[in-house]
Amino acid sequence: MELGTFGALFAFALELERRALAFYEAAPASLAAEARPLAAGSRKRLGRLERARQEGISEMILEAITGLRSEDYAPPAEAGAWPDMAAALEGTAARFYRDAAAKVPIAETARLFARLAEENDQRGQELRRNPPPPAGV
Amino acid sequence: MTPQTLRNYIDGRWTASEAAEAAEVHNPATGEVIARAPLSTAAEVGAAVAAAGAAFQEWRETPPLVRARAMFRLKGLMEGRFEELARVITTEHGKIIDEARGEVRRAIENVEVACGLPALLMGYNAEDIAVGIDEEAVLQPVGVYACIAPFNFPAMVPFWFLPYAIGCGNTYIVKPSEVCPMSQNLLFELLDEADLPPGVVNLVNGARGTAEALLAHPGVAGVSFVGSTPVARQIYATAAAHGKRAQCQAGAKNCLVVMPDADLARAVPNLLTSAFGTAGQRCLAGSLVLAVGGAYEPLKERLVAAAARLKVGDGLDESVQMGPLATRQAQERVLGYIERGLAEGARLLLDGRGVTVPGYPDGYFVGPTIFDQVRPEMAIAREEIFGPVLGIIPVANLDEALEIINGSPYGNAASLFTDSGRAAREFRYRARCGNIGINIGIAAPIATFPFAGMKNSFFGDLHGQGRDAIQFFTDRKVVISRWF
Repeated sequence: MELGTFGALFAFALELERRALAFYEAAPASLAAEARPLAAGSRKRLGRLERARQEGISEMILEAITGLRSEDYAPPAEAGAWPDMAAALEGTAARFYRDAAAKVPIAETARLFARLAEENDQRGQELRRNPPPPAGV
Repeated sequence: MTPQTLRNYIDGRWTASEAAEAAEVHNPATGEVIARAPLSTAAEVGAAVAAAGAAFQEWRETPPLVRARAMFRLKGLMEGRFEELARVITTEHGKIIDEARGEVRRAIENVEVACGLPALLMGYNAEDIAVGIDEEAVLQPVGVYACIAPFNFPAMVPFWFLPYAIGCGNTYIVKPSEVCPMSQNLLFELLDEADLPPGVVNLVNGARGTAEALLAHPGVAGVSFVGSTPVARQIYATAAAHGKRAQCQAGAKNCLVVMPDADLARAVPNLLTSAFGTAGQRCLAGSLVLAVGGAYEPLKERLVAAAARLKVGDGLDESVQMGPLATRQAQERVLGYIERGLAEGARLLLDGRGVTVPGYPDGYFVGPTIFDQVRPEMAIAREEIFGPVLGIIPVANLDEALEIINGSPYGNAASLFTDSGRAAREFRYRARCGNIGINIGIAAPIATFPFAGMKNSFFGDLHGQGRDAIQFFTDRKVVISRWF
């Protein structure tokens, strides 16, 4: 789907965050310690995005945002190991926010998206630096 | 599903109107009837005024801090139902959901400013104006005020007034537009939940007859109105004849001036938003582009190309960029103006007639429309169209643009797009309009500033919002004292 408006962009960003939250909340019990802060972070990000959607629209720009499609940020295949899938989720979200920040014509939103991308990078690096033990161990 | 018949909120209770007639409320994207607004009777207006009058004394004695706490509660309730409010606005009016969210935010901003009224209501004093004599000025509430609201910002406009009025200690009556009354009815559910004393706020649904009853009622001290110029002028005169205060925000014909040095890549999206946002049904909408010198040709091309790409449809679809007009009559009126423009010799560069939206055969849609070769004397250049129709007039220089702006009977807003500080200074100084944008397409004042307007765009002296609102809703009493 074309993400051509401020509203469509935010609806998709919220979907990405819900997807991440559901993934972290469904983590196996053995990974709960690693997943819990990630889930908490996702919850916070959801709130931040919802606030930005409701508060960051003092200036509406009608011209379409071009070149962003939801298909380009599809969730990773569910076959991999949990840490790899988590890192992939974070990577996809970082890529989306970075691409969107470059295109969205509202400064406050661009700033928010850039910050979210940075957070995704940090979360991804953390997952790679301290990989949780394989599920069931 | 049977459309609900809306009720009035009088003296802290929801009551069914006894009116024999009701206006149908339509979803403009589908044409469906979604509610009925009773055309409340003069007796019902009388009951609301009586309730507001009875509540006034106790409410004015309520400390401003306690009144402000009610505003804090209201803000919380509005934030909690934010999305629902936005969806109701889109469903009753047609504007896209992001614009509806912006409208809810603007309404909340006014409540936020009213939360600070305890400080803003402080008077001032001077000692020893003569030996041993002191003088002070205090601000006191006046009584019962009313708002006669328009359809284009059905949730926000009453909130340019209501939070300030009651925050200052007055009591209030809202008559929402009969075209789009649902969001205001929902907001009154929140006001009910905020648990104000009965009679402090009242809602009376209705149309012209209901408004006339409010205007004529001796118990109403002041009226706020937003709507067309002929009606605003009439309301102002009627209010004055009945000894009431009045602030009447009226029609507009706003110009967007583009200088040759303007950054077109950034100007064009702003021009588009100004002309076609809310399908042009804003009193701040840009209706004429005055393209100065060399700006004309490149601007025309970019503007038409960008406007042609706008997606028209149901405002609830997040991918849509322009919704329908609010009513079938509005659609017909706008189509009539397009015909007039053609008959007067303007050239149609982008034709919004006949636009179809799959799945919405009965919606009141008109696509973005752009005329070129418009002359200032044409009806499409002089009259308020209130729809997605933009005219382009080439002008030689800034002086000629200002001549057109200042020659208009309207004076609501004007914008300049330029890189020149000197041109910007000249423009803001000379343009006789209340709201000036410099590289801003919609010069909409935030809640701490008055929503200005000049000439036939405003009747009165104190505007809505900001410090003006506090003055409108208070009397200044001067006390001079000496103790023997």
